[in-house]
Amino acid sequence: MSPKPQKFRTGGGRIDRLKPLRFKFDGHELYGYEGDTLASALLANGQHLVGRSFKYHRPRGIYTAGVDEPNALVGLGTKDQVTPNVQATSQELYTGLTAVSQNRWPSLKLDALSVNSLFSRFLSAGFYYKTFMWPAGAWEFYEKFIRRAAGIGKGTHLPDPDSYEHVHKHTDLLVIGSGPAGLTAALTAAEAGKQVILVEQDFELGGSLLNRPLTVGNISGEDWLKRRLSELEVFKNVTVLTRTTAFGFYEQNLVGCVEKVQDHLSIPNLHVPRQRLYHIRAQKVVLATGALERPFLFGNNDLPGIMLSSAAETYLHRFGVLTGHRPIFYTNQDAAYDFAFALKTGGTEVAAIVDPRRDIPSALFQKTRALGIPLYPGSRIVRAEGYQRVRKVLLQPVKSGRDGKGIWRDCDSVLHSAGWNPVVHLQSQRGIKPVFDPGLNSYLPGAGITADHGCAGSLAGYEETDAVVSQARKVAKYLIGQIKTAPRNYKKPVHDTPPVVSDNSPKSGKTFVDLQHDVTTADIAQAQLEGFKSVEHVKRYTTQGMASDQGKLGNVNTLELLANLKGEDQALLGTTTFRPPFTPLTIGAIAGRSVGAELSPTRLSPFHECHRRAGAEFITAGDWIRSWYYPKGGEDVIAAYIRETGAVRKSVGMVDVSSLGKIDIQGPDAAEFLNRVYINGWKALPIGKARYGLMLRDDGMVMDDGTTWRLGENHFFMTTTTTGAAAVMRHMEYLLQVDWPELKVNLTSVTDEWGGMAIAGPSSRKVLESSFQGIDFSTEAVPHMGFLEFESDGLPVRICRLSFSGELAYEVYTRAGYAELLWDQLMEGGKPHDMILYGSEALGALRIEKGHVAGPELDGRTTADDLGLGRMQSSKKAYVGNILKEREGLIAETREQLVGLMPVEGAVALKAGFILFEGDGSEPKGHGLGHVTSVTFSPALGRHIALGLLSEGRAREGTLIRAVSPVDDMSVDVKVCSPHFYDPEGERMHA
Amino acid sequence: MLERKSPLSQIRIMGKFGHFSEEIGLTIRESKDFTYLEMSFWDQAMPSLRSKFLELFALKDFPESGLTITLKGGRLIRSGPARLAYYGEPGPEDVLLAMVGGDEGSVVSLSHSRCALHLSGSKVKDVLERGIRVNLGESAFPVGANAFTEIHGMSVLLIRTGASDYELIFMRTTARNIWTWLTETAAQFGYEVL
Amino acid sequence: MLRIDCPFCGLRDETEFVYGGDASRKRPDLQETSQDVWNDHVFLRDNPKGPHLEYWFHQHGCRSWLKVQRDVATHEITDVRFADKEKGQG
Repeated sequence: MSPKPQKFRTGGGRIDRLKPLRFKFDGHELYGYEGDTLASALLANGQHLVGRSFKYHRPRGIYTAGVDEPNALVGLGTKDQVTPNVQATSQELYTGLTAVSQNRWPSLKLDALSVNSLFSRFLSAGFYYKTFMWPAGAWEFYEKFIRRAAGIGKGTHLPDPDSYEHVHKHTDLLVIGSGPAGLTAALTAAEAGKQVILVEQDFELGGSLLNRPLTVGNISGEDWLKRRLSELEVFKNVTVLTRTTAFGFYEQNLVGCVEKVQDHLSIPNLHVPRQRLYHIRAQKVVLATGALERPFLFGNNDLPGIMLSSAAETYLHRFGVLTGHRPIFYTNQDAAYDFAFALKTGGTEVAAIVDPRRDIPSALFQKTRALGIPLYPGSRIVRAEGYQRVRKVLLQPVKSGRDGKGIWRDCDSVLHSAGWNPVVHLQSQRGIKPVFDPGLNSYLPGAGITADHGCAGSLAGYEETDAVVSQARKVAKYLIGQIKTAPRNYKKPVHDTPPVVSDNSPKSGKTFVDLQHDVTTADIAQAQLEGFKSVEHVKRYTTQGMASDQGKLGNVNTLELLANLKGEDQALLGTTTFRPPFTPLTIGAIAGRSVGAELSPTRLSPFHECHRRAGAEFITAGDWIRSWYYPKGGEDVIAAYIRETGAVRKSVGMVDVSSLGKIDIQGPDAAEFLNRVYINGWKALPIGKARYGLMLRDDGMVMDDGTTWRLGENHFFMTTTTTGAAAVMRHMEYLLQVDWPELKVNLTSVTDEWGGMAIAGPSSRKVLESSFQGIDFSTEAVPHMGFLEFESDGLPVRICRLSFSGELAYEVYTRAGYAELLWDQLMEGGKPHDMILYGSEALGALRIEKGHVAGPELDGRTTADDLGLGRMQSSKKAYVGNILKEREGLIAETREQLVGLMPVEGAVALKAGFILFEGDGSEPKGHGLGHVTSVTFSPALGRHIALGLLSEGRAREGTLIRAVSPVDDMSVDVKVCSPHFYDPEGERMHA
Repeated sequence: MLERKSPLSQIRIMGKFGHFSEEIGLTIRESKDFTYLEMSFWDQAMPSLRSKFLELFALKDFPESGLTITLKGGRLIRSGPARLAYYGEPGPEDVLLAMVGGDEGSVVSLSHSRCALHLSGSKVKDVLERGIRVNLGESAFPVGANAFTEIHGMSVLLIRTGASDYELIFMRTTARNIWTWLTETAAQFGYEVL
Repeated sequence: MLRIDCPFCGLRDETEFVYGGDASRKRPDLQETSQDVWNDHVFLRDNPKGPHLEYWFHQHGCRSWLKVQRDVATHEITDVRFADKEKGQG
């Protein structure tokens, strides 16, 4: 099928006409060439209408040729790879590219919501804050319609199928931008032997050299570029990254860059990430980000066909595309004239050059006349007119008043250029505010050069290519220490040029200062009238500069406008601060590989495979994956845990305790140290015995609990809770390094070194006897809290008799690599005693039945006394938290204390978080008396039970209160009782 | 001799994977049955321990931060101002345990707590810099250098054992996450598991 | 993202460290019984807009507690040393 002719394609350009690329826009099949952007291909095909504006749904065309594009935002891709708001001017064309215009219905040409223009009086600055103030509820009703009419682009809710990654780089010099300044800086440093990284957001290197015919020295820009690129290739110490945007400049010279690895490929490689986010840590940075052209302001300056002059020049020179057959130039820049001459010489009818300056340089004046181009010096464009494309403009002398007379001129495009704005964004992100320069009539970087970075080329205000190259070389040499004199920003001489922003009559039509957010000069003036005067307020009230283009086209014009409105010196006005990213980032790039299961690291027990083979269901606990329950025959979690819990109390069960924190503590001062961190005493603990310990924070609240075993005179093995392990370790290292360095104690985390299973239940001793033949497990040999260590056919085993479940129980550990061997041995030993496996759900039920505290009770707001453990506190020694635990508020009688709660109707289940109130039938109001912390069904008692924290709880034992949840609309009568529901005397573990 | 099970045994599948035409970018081989010990000292004991070490192992230099000292069957690495780690073949374990007296410090055997991979190939550095933030440049991280650092919040020890050879040592319980990061990252360069 | 020059490990990213709060405080003697003294130590902090002496724990590196002088307005770090003065004297 032969491609549709590209009516606006002409000769020249860097595109490859031997490689046509087929693509779709709004369902129409079109062709471009390799080397095109989507924008240049659309223009080549005469597609000037590319979208509808944000608020007013006005028809919009391509305005620029780069990252400053406000209008040509398209939806790229299909299905789960849809990306909204892609700048067509930055998107590389590829075969099969599918794009749709945005913000229009039913079609681009016939958009029903363009009727918004009729209501534009009501859609001005701050309208959100003023509409539907009354009646109450009106806003909630209309909001959804307003929101649907607003917004640009549609995303997708489907999961992102692509992968992304992060890369960490270190370099001597990072150069951002590959125009003449960037290339010079990179080569200068490379020649000096430095490690250099050069990043360029475009797919080709060259910057401004690609866009217009420049000369460097006495050779063409193209030749100069070719030579520099071949020189660059020779250096092994240079890394060049194209399609890579430096989006953020952070402290300590960290630069964030994103590389579009595969966004230009028809068929991406699934093994390769779609995009890469680079963290580049550079000793020095050269900012060679160039300058963006500044537009003029006039009525209806948003009509398709109106664009920046340099953009039109780029489309012609780089892409071989004519943006119009009858352009009018509106410029105060000499360089724009050269482009007009080139067009005319090439056969395009240049309808006029309109220049606000009265005195045009005579060489330009002569040539304009010689080429027969009508010239209007001292004039300005007041207004443009057209339907979905510009057709004519109204010209007036600059000096005439607001309602002066003017003349109309026909055209099909307006190419305007009001100056150049250095791209100061990255330096501004570092907190260095840009500075207004009257000669440039724009903003220069606040610091031309600092100890860690420098600004080169047109960013620093230089215009002539030779001057750019020379200054860039100096910047690089200075930063790498080859020269001592710091190069400076260019100081353009101040000359008498009329201001860019002129005072327009309201009859001129909408004059847009921010095209993407549909903000007009009238909006800025209105903001001032309403008292939003500072630059920060104007920005936020009008939303100028807050769209995805960050106001690249409009910021400087807005500041000049504000200075005029306020009658202030623009240099004193200040600016807002630019924030990263410089251009939009996809969230995937920020996430990198930390998605899905890799969102945060998870840890597996050394018994994990054993659990899996045994059919366990798993659950996360902190960063661990723990076995939750072992369903038999279609059981759900509730049926499973009830069965498992019952089996443990009746015979015996085995549960994985490997995730508990385990810390090896050694040293002559080890016991003294334990005395200082735990509330109870440790010096007299015999070797071979373990003890339950509770730790407080400095403020007297309970921090963590665990058991610590004495393996030797100066050797202890401490266990902590699973989720508290890292914090406890950090806390103890802090005490030893910062506060008590005189203590000789060494701490080593051994959580990963040992794997352990708890065997619990009346038959647990029998299981150990079956598993380990010939070892004496009698109560004399292994008393309660006793410990023993032995080898079983080479398997190193450590056993401590301690109980979380309240049953006779033992924790059995081996080195983690032998975990599966231990499992097999215990399972074998457990067979004759009907040993079952139980998971964290049953573990929870067992400890709640016993009234043992765990996470929900150790929430950082409870004291030892609150939890009924006050008597553990030693009065004979000082320890962390011992003084502040006596604060008035922490010993008050009304404190919430640990209690047991039994719903009067045993079949009713409470939930953790229910609030406790008096049982007197009064309306539950206010904060209540406490809350439910842990809940379970108790197989032993045959009913639902709970633990809670209740004001004066111990004194209320035996009384009736209510547990209330407004969220669940429940109010349950409960009886307050001892938290030790089952075996309150603790006899069973002494069997 | 009991078999020390690897935490990667279920997921480490041998073969060639990912995107490659001729050259595989990364080769992965698990280092098994190593000894990993950590010795912690009280500062006052450092000078005397230094001389003991130098004498016992006939060393010229005591391991300083970031520099690995190679012994006959293993490596000595300074894991902190007053800590030393040994990684290598079993053997020195008893000697080291005996050497460090109760007054000077303590020794803890951590051989089961770690998992270790030998990484090599033309793209090994490209793979590592996609997880490790430390400067791995030639002068910053030469052969023999080591660093205790992290990948995605998981502690690792990286040792450069050759021009294109590294040893990556990490915690047993995080092994699968490390493996996932490694293989997903290496896929774009092509990798082989030996 | 900060980088801290650990006196043992060298310049490392913030992701290897855990913040530890104000380092200008000194723990009272363990035998101290005054609630006011402990209250001041645990709760009272200055909040300067400028240089701040603070603790950082090198969790994924050498596990040393460090004293860092950082300007909270600019993130500039001007001093890093071991919290334990004796450390590293081997």
